[in-house]
Amino acid sequence: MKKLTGLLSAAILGSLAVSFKLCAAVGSYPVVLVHGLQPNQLASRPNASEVASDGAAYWQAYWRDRADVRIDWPAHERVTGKIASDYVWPKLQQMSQNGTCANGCIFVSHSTGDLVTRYLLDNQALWLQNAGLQPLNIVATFDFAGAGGGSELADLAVNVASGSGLIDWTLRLALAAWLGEIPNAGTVGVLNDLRVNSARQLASFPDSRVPRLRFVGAGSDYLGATGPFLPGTDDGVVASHSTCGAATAGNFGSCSASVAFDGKLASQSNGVRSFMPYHYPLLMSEGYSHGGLIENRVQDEVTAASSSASYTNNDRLQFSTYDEKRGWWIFSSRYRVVRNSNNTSMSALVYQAAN
Amino acid sequence: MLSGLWLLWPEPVAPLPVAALVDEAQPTEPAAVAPAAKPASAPTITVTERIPEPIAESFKLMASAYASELEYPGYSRPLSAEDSHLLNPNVYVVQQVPLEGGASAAIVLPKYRFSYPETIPVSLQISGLTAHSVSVQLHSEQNNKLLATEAMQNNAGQGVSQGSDQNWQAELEPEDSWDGPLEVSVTFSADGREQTLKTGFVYSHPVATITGVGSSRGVGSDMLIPVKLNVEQAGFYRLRANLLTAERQPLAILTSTEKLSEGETELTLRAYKAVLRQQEGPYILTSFVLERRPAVPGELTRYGDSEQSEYPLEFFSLSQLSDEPFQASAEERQRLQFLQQMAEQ
Repeated sequence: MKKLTGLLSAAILGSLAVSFKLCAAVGSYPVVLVHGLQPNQLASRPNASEVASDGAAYWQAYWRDRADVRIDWPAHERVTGKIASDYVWPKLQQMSQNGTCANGCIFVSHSTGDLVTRYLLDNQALWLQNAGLQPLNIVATFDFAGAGGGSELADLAVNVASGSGLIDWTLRLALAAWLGEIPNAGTVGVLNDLRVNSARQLASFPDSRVPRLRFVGAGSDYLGATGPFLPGTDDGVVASHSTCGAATAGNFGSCSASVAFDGKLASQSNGVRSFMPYHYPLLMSEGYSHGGLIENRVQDEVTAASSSASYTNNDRLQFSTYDEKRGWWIFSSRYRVVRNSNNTSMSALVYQAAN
Repeated sequence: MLSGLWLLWPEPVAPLPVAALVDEAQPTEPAAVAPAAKPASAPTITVTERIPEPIAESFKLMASAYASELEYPGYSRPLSAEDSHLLNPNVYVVQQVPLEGGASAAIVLPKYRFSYPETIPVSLQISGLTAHSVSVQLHSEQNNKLLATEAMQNNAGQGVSQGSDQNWQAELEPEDSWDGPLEVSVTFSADGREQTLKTGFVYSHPVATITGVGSSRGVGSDMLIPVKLNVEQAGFYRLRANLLTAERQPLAILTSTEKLSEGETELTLRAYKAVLRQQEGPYILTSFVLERRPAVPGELTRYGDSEQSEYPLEFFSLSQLSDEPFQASAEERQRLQFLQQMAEQ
């Protein structure tokens, strides 16, 4: 009986494993997760097993159990240094040897993971070929709150880390809110890579034409404390020039020239009009914060950032008319919302759309 | 299908007007703006229409945009005047640091990457504060080794400026051992306190140099442009350059990656016929980015330079080129298929 129970357990576990495998896919492709900055690691300098457990915790709200592989990396190291050699490279080798991406795979990144992913996209084929291994076939990336264009907060943090004698006190408070504590010169790690210039110059234009799908929020986890130090609209950590994938750093109010973050269909004078190669903002939302984009909770309704011809004519977006019968002026505004976004989180919307 | 409708009433409450019927994907044509003769003082209501849209609609648009990209080869991408990041690949973005009392300061560099033996002009721009004792230090980001230190002068050359806006400058003379990511630290004093600001940039001892451009020739649908190089370190090189008309109108960004040996060699850029937009030259080849790529993880990208910032290309008859459409790779077609599948969900 005990043996039978054991067999049954094994069978159940086996079926669970199969069903897990079936779930761990986007559009039938295996999913690889690349997390973002974990500020506590700047000072704690975690070892490899702590990096792995931190990585698992990072994604646990939604994506962890929907992924096949995680690339976990420590914030106290640099992207082109030990992050690449000690953390990304072993996973690239493993995925190549296991054939994880042989038929294609999807990378899901968050925040600084966008930058790590871009560096990986630019180099993985050359590194694997040089090692006699098959390059990965990466079909697309889903980038939530992508920081590939850097964050001005990282520039400021590196400056404050070298001494805050004359630094504005509200900036110190904002950085403390974001990072938990003000780093010192020896604990800035990957923040160096996240500075706007460094980030935008790192593997700025990978040869592989992998489409980079952007999911963007404009809320804040810090009660707006960090917003004054980020240009344009931001998600509390990263400005929209970065999250949208804009070609240049600047003051942008939307990822779209014709849709606002809240879905209002109206010409956006400071909407992004030029993007980094193969970067496509897909969904955006006024209420989602930097961290909220990968949680499984609804922070706001979501709108589509891409603009069809139907929405490019400003005359169709807003209008006023006079109702002769009632004697009223009617001013009309239109908002585009993604269906079910009032009861489904951004991450779940994306996942469900692909499955 | 009926979409959501909210009515906001800035004027005294009145009976609700009729709800609007809105098609989900295609908003209805709005009524024309009313004639100016209508009374401006009439009560107003604001109508907010909500247009639900399936997420697949967004994927459809994106798939279409990606399909357009695949009409051109990755090695020859059309370039327009709006592609400022590609036209200016070495731009340095100034970052302001807020200081007490509404003051601010920023380190300014003229560009992000420098090549030996270029000097490095460093400026400190301060607004709203009177600074003194301003100095600049240069460290290697890799080992934190101090490479240079120099006092900075205000732009009036008096050492101390009393104005609210100051511009302190220094020009660092390089040594040929400088190579890789460097950190600029500028330290200044004001109001009895000291502050250090930092920024990063890349200094390269060139690992290869572009020495010239040969005559173009046609093969299939591509104009082939041989670029002459003197390679000091063998490796995998990637060259990017912008092709402009003689009137400096952007045509294409060209990319080539090859394994190169040491010594005099050539690397071929290819311009796909369609990106030339009926322009038969003469052309200008410029904005070179020459990288020696990291062969293994942990190795840094090294950079080359060019003897000239741009090279003229002579007239080229497009009749030499065929009109065959570009065929995307199997992986690229798979990516497009994935986006199209998402659009059909």
